Parts: sequence; structure tokens; C-alpha cells
Amino acid sequence: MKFAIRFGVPEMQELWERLSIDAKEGTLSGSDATLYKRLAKAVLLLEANPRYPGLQSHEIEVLSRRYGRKVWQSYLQNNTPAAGRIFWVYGQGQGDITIIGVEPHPEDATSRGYERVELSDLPPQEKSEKL
Amino acid sequence: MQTLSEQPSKVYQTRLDEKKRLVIRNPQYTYYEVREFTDGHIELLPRVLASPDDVLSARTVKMMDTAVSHLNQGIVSSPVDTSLLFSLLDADERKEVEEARASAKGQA
Repeated sequence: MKFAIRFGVPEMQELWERLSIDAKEGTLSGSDATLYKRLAKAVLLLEANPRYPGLQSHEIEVLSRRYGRKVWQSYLQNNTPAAGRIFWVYGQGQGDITIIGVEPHPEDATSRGYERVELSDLPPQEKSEKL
Repeated sequence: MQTLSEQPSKVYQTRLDEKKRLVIRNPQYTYYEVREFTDGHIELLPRVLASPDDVLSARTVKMMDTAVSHLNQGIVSSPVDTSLLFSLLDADERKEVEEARASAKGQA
């Protein structure tokens, strides 16, 4: 079964669109070029087989509890979580996978320090937090 | 912030060795944050290394909060056009994608 890969709205979608346009125009910076290539590979692997061992896909239970649906994490580079991770869910439709987040966040790459959250401290999402 | 116990469970005297190191007897932890004060006293606060898997950027959490809220309302991007992505990959990466495609056929 081949999955249709979608991006979460708005940030992941905007990130992918920006990277795709910059790639076409040949204006990708070094770090963006690396991220684009890693994301492209992850998209192709997820499309083919989200359980492919190279993705190291595994459920992040804290996030599943937070969002009330199973959230999976895959590595952007084999066995190297520090190289980047994506978070995704099945849906919205059958045969769809939606990539909802990427770590490190692209804006953090330009910051010297950024706020980190320990997953064990992450509570279920409050209704008031939802849009 | 951890609250320090007023009553120590152990009290002992120690001294710096020739390399100016102190020995902690039967320590319960491997990693400590060391806090040195101008009056000479030192605090050691136990620390546990976090796995990269266990830590996320607050921005990534916010990104996912919004994405899932929209997803629950049926709002997601169009499917990604993957037809041009294969050409971005080098030979080893292409081989890996081909393996993934073959493994999916094996699982079907």
C-alpha cells in the first residue's frame, strides 16, 4: 500500500513549500538543503512503508496521550536522532499520513538557545489550548 | 528547583587528593551539577541525562499542537507530489527507498 503524505497546517506545510521553492530557484542555504533532502527521503520512505526499519518509527506515548491519537516518531537519518526527527500520525483519511512536526524546529537552528520541553513533563492537551 | 534537605543523611570529612579531587562515598548518582559559592561552600545537585528522544523544542510542541487541532477539523495540506523527490537522493538513499518499496510489497 502506498501512502499519501500530507503536512500539518500551517507550519510544516509552509516549511515544505518554502524549501521546495528555494530548491527550484537554487537559493537553498546549506542547512536548509540538508533538511530538504532529509525530509524528501523521509517522505519517500513513509510513502512506501512507514514501518521500514531505517525510519526507526515508534510511537511516542506521551504525545499520543496529549493529542488523543497515536503519534509516531521517525528519524531523518538512520540511527541518528540528533540529525532530526519527524512526528506523524495516520490520517486524516485512510491511506494518509500527516507529518505534524519536525525536531529540531527550523527556527531553533538560528537561535543560540531555545526552550526545551521534557516529554515526561508534557501534559495532555487542554481543550483551551486547542484552536 | 530541587529543595535541599535540611538534615543530611550522612556527614563525613574529606580532603582534596593530589589532583585536587574530592571523593563522594557511595554516590547515588553519576552526574551532578556543581554550584560553587564565594563563601567556599559547594552544592552538588543530582542530574540525569535526558535521551534526545525525551526532549523536544517548545516550538515543535506548539507546531504539533496547531497541526493536530487543524487535522481534527479536517485541515491538512494537499498530498505531497513525490514524483520529483527521488532525483534529489544519492545512490545509497535511492537504494534505501527501493528497499522500503520492496519490503512494503513483501508485507502486503
